Amino acid sequence: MNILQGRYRIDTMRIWQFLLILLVATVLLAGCGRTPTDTPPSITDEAPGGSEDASDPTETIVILHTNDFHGAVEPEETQASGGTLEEGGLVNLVSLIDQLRAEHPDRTLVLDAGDAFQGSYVSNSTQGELVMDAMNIAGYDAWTLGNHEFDWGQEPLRARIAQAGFPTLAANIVDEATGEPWDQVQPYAIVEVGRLKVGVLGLTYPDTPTINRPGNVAGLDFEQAEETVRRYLPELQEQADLIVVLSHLGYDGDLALAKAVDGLDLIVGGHSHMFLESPRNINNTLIVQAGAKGQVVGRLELTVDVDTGEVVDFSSRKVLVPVTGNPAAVNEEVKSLVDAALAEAAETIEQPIGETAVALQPQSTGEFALGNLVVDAMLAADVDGQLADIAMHNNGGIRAPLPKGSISFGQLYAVLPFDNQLMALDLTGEQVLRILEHSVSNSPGKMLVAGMTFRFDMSRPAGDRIVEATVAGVPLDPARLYRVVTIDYLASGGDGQETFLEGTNPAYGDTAVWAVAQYIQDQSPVHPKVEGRIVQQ
Amino acid sequence: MKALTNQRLTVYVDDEPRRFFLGLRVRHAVGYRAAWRVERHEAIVLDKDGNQVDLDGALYDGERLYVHQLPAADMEGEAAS
Repeated sequence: MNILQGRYRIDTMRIWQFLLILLVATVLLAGCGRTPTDTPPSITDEAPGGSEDASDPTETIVILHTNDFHGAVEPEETQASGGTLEEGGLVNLVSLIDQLRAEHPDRTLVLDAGDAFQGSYVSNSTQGELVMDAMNIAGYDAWTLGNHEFDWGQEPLRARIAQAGFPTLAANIVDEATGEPWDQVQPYAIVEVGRLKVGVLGLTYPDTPTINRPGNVAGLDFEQAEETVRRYLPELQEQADLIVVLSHLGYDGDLALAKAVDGLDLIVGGHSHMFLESPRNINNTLIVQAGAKGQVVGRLELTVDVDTGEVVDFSSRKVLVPVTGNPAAVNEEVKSLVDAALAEAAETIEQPIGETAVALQPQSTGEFALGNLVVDAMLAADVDGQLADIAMHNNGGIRAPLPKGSISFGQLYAVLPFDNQLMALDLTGEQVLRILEHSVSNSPGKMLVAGMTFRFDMSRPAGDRIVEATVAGVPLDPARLYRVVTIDYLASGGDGQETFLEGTNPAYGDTAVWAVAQYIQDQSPVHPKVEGRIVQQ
Repeated sequence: MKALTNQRLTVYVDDEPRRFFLGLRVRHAVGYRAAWRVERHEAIVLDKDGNQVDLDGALYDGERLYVHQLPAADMEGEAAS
C-alpha cells in the first residue's frame, strides 16, 4: 500500500464506519417480516458501484452463479395469456450470462456449483460434453463437482474435467490410498477480478459415495466440509482478498459451514435446488443459491474494501435473474451447438436399440409380458456391484405398448416416462410379504416381480391374501434378508408402499428406462411372456 | 466397495414428519400427486423461509417443505423465481 492510499483510507474511515452502521441497520430491518413479495431495495437497481479509480478504497465485483443445471438443454415452454413463454434452456442461459457479464466485463466472476450434466437425453447421451462446450463458451471461471458428476463413472468425468477451460475445484476429494488431493482437480483457485484476488475453494457433496454407485467413486475419499475448509483457509487468506466457497454441500451444509468457520465471505451453493431470492447472512458469510435447471442466474454484487478484503456492501434482494426466451443477443455459437445436438438426439432417439419378438401391452393389474420385461431388466441391472434377489415395479408405472419389431429409445421412454431411478434395498422376507399383501389389498395385483413368484386369493381378508411365495424356486423365508431392486418412487413410499421405507442399505442405480434399454440391447430380440409369476387362485 | 448408509432423514411436509433415505429428493417427499401439480405450474414447493425449492432438490434432515397452491391467475407462465 502506498502512503497516499493509506492517508486516503484514514480520511474515509469514519465515513465507511457510518455507512457500515447504516448497512447493518438496513439488513436487520429488512430481515424483519421479509416475504418473497417484498419490493427489492437493491444496489443492483442503481448505477454500477465499481470504480475504475485506483484510489477508490473499494471495488465492486459481480458474481454470476449457476448450479444444478442437470443437462436442461432445452427450454421449458409454458402457455401464458401473451403466448408461449420460454424458461431456461442452454442457449438462453449462456446468452444471459453474456449480457450480464458485458455490464462489467472486468469485474465479473462466473461460477458453477455442480451437477451440470445429468438429467436429459441430449446431455446424458454426450455424457456432458455438450454442456461443457457451452460452459467454455460462456467463460466460466471455475466450477465444483456435484454428486451427479460421478453418475457415469470416473473416465467420462476425467474427460469433462480435461475439456473444461477453467479450473475444476473439489478440495474435499482425496485419493483413498495416499490421502492426497485427487489429481484430477484442484482444491482452490485464485482469480483476479478487478483489483481483487478472489480465492475460490470447491467442495463437493461429502455423502457422494453413499448415493452413487460404489464403482463410480472407487479409490476416492470424500472428506467433511469443515475440516477441509479449515485446512485450506490459512493459505487462501494469505493469497486472496476475498474467500468464496463454491459448494455442492446443499443448503443445510452451507448453513452449518458458515456457522462453524469464521472468515468465509461467500458460499455459492447447490444441491438443494433452492431459489434464494436474497443472500442469507450467517456469521458474516453470505450464502446464495440459484435454483436449478438453468431457470435463473444468480447475480450478486459485492463491494469490498480493497485493503482489508472486508465486504462493505452487497446486493441484498432479488439476486436471481430469470432465464427467458428473450435474451438481448443470442449466443450464436452455443445455439449452433445445441441445434446440432438436438437434431442428432432426435435422430438417435428414434433409432432401434433392439427388437421384441412379440407385441407388448401395458396392463393395470396382474402379470403381463411387458411388465416382466421391465422387472427382468431391473433384476439384471448392476446397481451396487451385486445382483439383487428380487425386482419389483408397480403396474401403474408402465404406460405404453411396444409393437412387435424394432424398439427405439423414444418408444421405450413412452413405456417408462417417469425418469424413475433404480434403488436396491435389503428387505426381510416378512417385509416382502407385506409389500405383496399391500399390492393385492384393493385389486388383484399391482406389483410386478422378477426373481420370485407368488399366489394370492382375493376371497381371503386383506392382509392375509398371499398364500404362497417363492424366491429362486424355494419358499420365501420371512426371516431372511433379500436384496430387492425397485424404483425410487416405491422406495419412497409411493402407491402407499410404506414398507419399502423400512429397508436397509439403500443404493442408487441408473434410471429404470436406461436399465431396460441396456437389457434390450444386450438380449435382443427379447420375447417376454407371462409365465405364472403372479397367480390368482 | 464403499459402505452403504442406513442414514435416514426426517422431512416435514406441510408440518407432517416423514422419514426418507438419504439421496431422495423433494418430489419424493411431497408425493407424486403434488409433484405433478408443480410440474403443471399449479403449485410450488416452498421451504420454511418462503424460498422456492425445485422438485429435484436434495432433501436434508429437518427440512420443512410446504406445497403452496398457486392462484389460478398465476398458474400460466409461473416463473421459477
